[in-house]
Amino acid sequence: MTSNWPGPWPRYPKHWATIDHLKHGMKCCDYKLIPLLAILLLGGLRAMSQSPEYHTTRILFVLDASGSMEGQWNNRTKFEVAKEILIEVLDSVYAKNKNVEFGLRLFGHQSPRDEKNCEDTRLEIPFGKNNLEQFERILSGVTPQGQTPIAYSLFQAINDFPEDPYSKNVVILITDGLESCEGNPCAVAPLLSQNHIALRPFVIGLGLELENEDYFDCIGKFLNANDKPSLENVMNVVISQAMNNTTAEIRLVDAKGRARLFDIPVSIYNHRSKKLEKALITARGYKGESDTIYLSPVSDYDIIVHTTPEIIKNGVSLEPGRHNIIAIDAPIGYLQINRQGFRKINDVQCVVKNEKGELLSVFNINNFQPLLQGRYYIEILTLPRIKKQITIKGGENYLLEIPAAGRLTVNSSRIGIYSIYKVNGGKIDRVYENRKLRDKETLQLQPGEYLAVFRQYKYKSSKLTKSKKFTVRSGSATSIWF
Amino acid sequence: MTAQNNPVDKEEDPPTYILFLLDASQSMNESWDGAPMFDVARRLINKTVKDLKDKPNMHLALRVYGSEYHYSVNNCKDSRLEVGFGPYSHILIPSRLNDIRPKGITPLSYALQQSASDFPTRKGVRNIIIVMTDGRESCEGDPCAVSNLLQKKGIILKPFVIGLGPGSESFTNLDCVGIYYEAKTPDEAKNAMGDIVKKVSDKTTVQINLLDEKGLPRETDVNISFITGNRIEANYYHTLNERGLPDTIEIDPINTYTIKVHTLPPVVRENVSFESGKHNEVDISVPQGFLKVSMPQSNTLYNDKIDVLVSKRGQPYALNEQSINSRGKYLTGKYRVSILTLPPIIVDTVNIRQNSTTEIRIPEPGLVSVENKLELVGGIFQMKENHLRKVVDLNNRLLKQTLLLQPGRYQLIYRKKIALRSEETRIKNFAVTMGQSIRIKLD
Repeated sequence: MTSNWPGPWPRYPKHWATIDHLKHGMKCCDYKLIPLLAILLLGGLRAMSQSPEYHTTRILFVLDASGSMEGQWNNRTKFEVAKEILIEVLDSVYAKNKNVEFGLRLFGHQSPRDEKNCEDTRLEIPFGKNNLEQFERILSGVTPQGQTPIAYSLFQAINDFPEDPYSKNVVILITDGLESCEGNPCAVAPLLSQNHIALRPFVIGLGLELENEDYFDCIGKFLNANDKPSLENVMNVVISQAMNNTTAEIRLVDAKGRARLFDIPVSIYNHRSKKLEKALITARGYKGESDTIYLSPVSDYDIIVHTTPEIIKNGVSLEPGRHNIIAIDAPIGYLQINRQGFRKINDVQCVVKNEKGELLSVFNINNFQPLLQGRYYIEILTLPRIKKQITIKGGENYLLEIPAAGRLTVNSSRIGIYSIYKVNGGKIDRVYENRKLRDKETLQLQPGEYLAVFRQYKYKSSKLTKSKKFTVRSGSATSIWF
Repeated sequence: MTAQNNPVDKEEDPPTYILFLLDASQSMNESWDGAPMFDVARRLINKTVKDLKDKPNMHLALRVYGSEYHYSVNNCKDSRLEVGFGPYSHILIPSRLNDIRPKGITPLSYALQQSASDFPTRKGVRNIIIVMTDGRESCEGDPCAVSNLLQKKGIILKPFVIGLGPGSESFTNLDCVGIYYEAKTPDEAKNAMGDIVKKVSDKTTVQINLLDEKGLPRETDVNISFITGNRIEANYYHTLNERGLPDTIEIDPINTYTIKVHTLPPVVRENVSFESGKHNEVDISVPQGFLKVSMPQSNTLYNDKIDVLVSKRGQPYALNEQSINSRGKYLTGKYRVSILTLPPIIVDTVNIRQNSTTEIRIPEPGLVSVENKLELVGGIFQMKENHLRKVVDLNNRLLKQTLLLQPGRYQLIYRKKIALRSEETRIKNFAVTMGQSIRIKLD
């Protein structure tokens, strides 16, 4: 792809006039109004979140109706899925918002692919209110078939917006393919912004696999959807942004001050009603950019980050109409307990308690357990239990290696009461007791020296107590007889 | 594997080996109440040998120091085994003593060290040294360190030391060698020896009364360890005899014991000494009751055992781990019980009462299998007091996972691992009922 605008461009001189006209007729953005936070925002959002004087929002869908939209997504064509979601979105937006108008431009729907019609695009539904039925009707009659002239369609879209200085103009491009004509979408982007159409349009990719992730960067904000639910989600995200909703971003900041903690559940509650408003699993966002979520600015929020232990942040308030970054320190480190030996024997749990002795987590060893920086008591449920106080440092791994167990078989020809002790000089601590041993039993014991003490159950003399020292070795079997 | 040295395992008394370690340094010639100190000591040993000769299983030997070389020679290795352990030592000891003339110095540490090899190396015997001396170590040795080492190695029991003469109270560095008697007069020496003989030869019995809440000795079937310093001397599983009374055990009264009763939590008594030749009773209060966590098990879902941790409140570590549907025995009182179900059930205050079983009943879990086409991140949560609590993380590598969850309502909060936006998080509500399995399919 070259950066030069290819051949077709000069054939539309009238638009240049229009563009100039529009340009001069528009107020441009007053950058003084940009809040500090907005500097962190994406271009598309920036243009919208700072201009409260708009009366109308006009959203133009530029929808791909090329042949590939006939491709299947869960037994339905992509086009059908897109259509259905478009209609749902319109329905819900129209129900709540009086100052929104939607329009629809299609491309690739008029000529079959082999005709190579690179000007196959049409404004099918001009902006208007309550045109939901029109959307349903038009979209039902469409047969996706042709090319993907993205650049040309976007260029045409400039003229689809009426001249209205008090309108916020947004383009949402929905496509499952890349430019198939010789146009250069990158060249169109500056024209759109010059004409006060959202600085960078939203591009929704339908299962697009991009070789070069930056492909759409020059046009606008690219969001990919791989199936119906994610398309629905992405659509809601885009519409919310377009509708000038308050957005937020929860940044979990690791021990090194980087916002790189992902896949962590966070729940958000209404501060006053204490009701759950939203639960989410943090994600890395597109290309490491912000991972925007949508929250009403009306109430304050209590936020719980479901790390171990939880992080609770109460009374977080949002600035309306802005992108709010909520930074939460989550200095997570990792506890890793490794034990050699057979997998089956290794299904041993570890209990993590805080300094007050409250149970925080139970996990199987031979896994990583993320823990917030701090001091913990851990107890590994081997026999005997391994007890340890540990200090977890953010960003670091605390590795504890424990030896594999050995197998002890205790045999007795008579029913007996017995117990096993760890002996160290004059210290003797009970590890295990069976108050009624019949025949035999097998235990998995950590390696070491032990003492077993046994008495036949019915013997009425403690003098008949028997003691046996034995050694358990990792991975091997030991037997004792009473 | 060896049987532990449990001296009272057998019905007969363990063989006792007594070595007299006698000071024959020059100062022993000094007069003590009209007679040379050495003669007083000699007569005392002769009498003791005579007293002990008819006791079964009693073996005697004699070692001296300072008898070979004049003190001016300053020989720090002047010590000899004069009479070794043998069938005729009660005859040989008096006759050897007649021939010994004190003249040397006091290499006590060396003598102690040498005496280690005078004893048989057999297990299950009592090796005892009785030291009689009128002065301190005169060579560069630490008799206390030697004594402690030999005790630690199990070669000897704690020695007896009789300090002879008016200056004996100043031999303070000897009281760490063993049980120290200061004998300022010959009579006191006689009494000291009498006491030692009694401790060594008389049967001393002990009855440990494990008391319940009413102060009655009805608790039993618990192991009791008798510990001396660094050694576990014996373990006895307590019993009540045919008449329902705590049975009697024999104990070596030479030692002072730490008694550890292995209840949960254990009860320890320090510095317990017994009167030799008597029947001693020790009362230890260990009122106990039982704890059981029961759960119906209508099917065989539960291959994994569910652990129950029992701890004392305020203690970071558990006192005991027991499994579900089994009984654990604890001292009466309040405990915190953590049942490691999903989610864990924590009962902060569980009261264990005398002789009764406190039962915690928990419902049977249900089996939940979560199936997904793509790898997921997230977890299963439960709403408690308007607050989501994580029950368990989903394994982000599995496309199918099976969990046992306690009955209740849950929320599965998840996102496809590959999804880049947290707005793509989904919530799936589900309920678990007792003993039922459910399947959750996520696309």
